[in-house]
Amino acid sequence: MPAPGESPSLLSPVPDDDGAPFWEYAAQGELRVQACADCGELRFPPRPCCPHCQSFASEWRLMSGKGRIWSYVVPHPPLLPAYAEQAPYNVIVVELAEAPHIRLVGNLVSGADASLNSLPPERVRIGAKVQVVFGSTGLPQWVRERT
Amino acid sequence: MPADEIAMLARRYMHEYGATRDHLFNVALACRNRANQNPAAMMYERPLTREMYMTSRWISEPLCLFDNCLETDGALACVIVSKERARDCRNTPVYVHSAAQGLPAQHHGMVNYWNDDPLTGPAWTAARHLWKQADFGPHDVDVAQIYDAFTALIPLSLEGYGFCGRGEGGAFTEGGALEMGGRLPLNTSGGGLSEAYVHGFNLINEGVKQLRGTSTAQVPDASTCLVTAGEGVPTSAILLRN
Repeated sequence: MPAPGESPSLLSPVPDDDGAPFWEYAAQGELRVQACADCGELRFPPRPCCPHCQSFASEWRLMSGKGRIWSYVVPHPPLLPAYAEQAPYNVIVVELAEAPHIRLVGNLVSGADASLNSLPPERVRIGAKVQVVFGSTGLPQWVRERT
Repeated sequence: MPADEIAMLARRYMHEYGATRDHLFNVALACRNRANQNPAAMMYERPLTREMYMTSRWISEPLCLFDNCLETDGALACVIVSKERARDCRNTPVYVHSAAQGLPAQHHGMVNYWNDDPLTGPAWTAARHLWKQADFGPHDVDVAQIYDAFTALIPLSLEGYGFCGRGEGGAFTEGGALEMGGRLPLNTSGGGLSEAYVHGFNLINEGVKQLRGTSTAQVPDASTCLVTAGEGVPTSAILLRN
């Protein structure tokens, strides 16, 4: 469901069978990453087989939701209309504290359900510590970690 | 969307290794200068200056307009026959000395952010196989046609194919290295950035022209040419020789 005041035409995730649990946990406010139930290795994006030990047994492990900004971009129009309205905004790739090789794409925002452009792009820094938040869309977003 | 994906790698690359927008400009300028020599290039009569580059509009920061390739409707062909048959053809044959495809283990989708170092992409994988089959190395390459949908792919590819070390791709572009008479003349038809973007196919044809001696920006006595597909995404490369 779109948040109040948010354009309804922002894109929503299209889950596949392997990735559906990720979005179901996200809707409950949990960041969980698929892990091998045999060797314990985390993997992303979700897929049937462990690249480490080839086991097909998997589980969804709860993450702390902490990470660091690995890189970021600032897209400019032409963009889809709902995104063009909010441009320029940041898009960040976050490496997770528990597993730096697992990187999630999102936006650094001022709080849950805030707009994509709620923080000025010049506030974004590679290496900055961030914390996941979930708004009413169920999409993981990121805020600066409070220390 | 691909611009954003590559911009993400570019930003990280600049952060990690100190590459600058001037390095990306060096790539854009080399391609544009060659296009200015090529009457068939879309940008034939459109010179590029540093001022134009630095003040152009953003596409996806840190990539600006001139870091992005053209959009082109075009068609090209390449006829491949056996060595024996080629001897009887009217045009001087150019030989495929080595060919390789590259996809690192567990690579997903286009750009893969989920390995230990996303800046070490498929070019490294393709390069291993490419050079293994060749009887010459990167330092023997006279001219290169490197896939340039985005300028930032060039420093990454220069590293991946062994022309310089990790993190040195930006600095490699300094001092006119990619220009005529430089260490490695690049995309001598203008490439995807300034001749035409035909998914890189024009790079193959330009490689053939160089080794036939018929390029509009001819490298004197060119006898070896590297042609690559994109870095960051599943890729391939060939070495041509005459």
